[in-house]
Amino acid sequence: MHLLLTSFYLSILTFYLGVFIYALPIPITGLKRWGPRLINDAFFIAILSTTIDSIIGFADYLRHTLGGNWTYYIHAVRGLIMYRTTLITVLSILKDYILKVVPGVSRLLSIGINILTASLYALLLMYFLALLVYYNIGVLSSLGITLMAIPFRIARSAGAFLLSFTLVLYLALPLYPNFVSILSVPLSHSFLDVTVIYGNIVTDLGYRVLEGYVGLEVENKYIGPAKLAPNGHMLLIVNKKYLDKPSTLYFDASSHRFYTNLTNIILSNLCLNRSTLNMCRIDVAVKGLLYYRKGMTIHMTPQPQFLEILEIESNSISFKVKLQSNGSLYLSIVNQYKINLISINNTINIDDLAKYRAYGWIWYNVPGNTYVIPLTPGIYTIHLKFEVSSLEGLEPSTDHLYPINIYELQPETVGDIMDILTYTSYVEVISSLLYLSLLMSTSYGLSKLLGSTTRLRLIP
Amino acid sequence: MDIVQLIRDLIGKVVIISWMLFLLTWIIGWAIKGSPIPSSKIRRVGQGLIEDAIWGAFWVAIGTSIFWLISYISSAIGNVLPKPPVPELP
Repeated sequence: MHLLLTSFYLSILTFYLGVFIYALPIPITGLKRWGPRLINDAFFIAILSTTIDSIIGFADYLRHTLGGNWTYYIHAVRGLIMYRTTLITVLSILKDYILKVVPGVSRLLSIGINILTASLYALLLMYFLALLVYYNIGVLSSLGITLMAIPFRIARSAGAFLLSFTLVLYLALPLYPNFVSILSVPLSHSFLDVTVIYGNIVTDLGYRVLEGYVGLEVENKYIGPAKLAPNGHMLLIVNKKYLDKPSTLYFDASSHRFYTNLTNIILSNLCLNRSTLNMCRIDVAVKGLLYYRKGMTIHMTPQPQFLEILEIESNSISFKVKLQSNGSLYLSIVNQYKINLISINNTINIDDLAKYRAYGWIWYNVPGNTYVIPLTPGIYTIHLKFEVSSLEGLEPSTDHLYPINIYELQPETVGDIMDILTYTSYVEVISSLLYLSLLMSTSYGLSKLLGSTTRLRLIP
Repeated sequence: MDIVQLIRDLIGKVVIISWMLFLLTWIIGWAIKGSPIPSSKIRRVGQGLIEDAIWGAFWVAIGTSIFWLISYISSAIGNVLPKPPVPELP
């Protein structure tokens, strides 16, 4: 604060010195040119020193938008330093022990220790730079402005560099983890190699499916279950290469996988929206499904000719179907549901379902049962009353789900020992230097901008 | 001595000297311009001195207002600020 006050008054002094030179009765052009130059400088520095708080606030906002967080960053780096130090200590002790038994192996270990030590130094550099900038942003930036404010541009470029260095590091240093993750994630998982498959889901009988799960089967590999987004939008992020292979899309509900209109099909031929890269719109019709709500699936074989859902309440549902041949009504529910009543055409009432139980299942981690009720051809109005004992655990937990967010996609090669080695040591050594040099060149550019008034001239 | 106080002292001195210098330059300028020397080159020097002096007087008169404006605007934006300087006119 005191430094800022000093710089503000220094800028006023600069201004009056400029005026003084204007008023000098010495008609030398070289001298007179300093007049407007000093006045320009003074205005620029005065504006800078009064708005530095807003500038830092803007840097905060920008960093927040880009996803950086100082607290998280400092904690993460400190944790990594602790981890490295412990690892080096343990390995050194191990090396000393092994040296007495097998000398050759201990040499290998010492190579590993050297790499770890280098990465530890790189981390320490990042850590102390972070401490310096984070806790002294105010002092450093106002010192930079004060240096800039000294009349006749004596320390202008030094001050400009100090200011821009502080600002750039304050903004960009917490983004370092994101930078490292870009470097260390294998190439096949970059944004360019994934495709977002999206679209609406309807049943074959024309009703929108508002919740549920989908999964894609390609080359005996099942990608799923992916939860539908709210309003029943399918959103599936898959590797681009899967689009060019025969694949089958399933609706995954209550341990049953329902076929859809996409069976053994090459998806890239069907994308509706070809204008945008990496996006594939496909609308899906699910076969056989009558109705799905959290953990409760109703379907029928054979497919009924006609379905009308009459009423859906939180604890009841009634619908009307037309069946052409002998068939069955399948009711697949997780264990939290308790069916109180099934009435068919108001004539047949079933209050004890136990004798219709066909088989039990475990849907990822949710256990449940399927009940089959045989029906003869005809038109039926079916009314179902049930209650839910608890709303939790009706659907598979998140660990079993396929991630909707691209950042959660795991590299396929995780567990590969070489990857872990490169990630933990080489990438850190290289990326910290790379990142710091990037920031340095950025702050150099910024200091060039701040340090020269040729681009920021107010008075000709 | 406080550095801010020192700078303020300097500002005050520079302002007073600038006013005096403006008068001096203005007088010298007119003296050169009005001198009975039949050389347009010398007259132009006098003209230039008068112009510069008037520019200087303009800036010195308007200066405090400009700095007040800068700090007023940035305090309106919401900064914690050095307080606006008191006018330094003699």
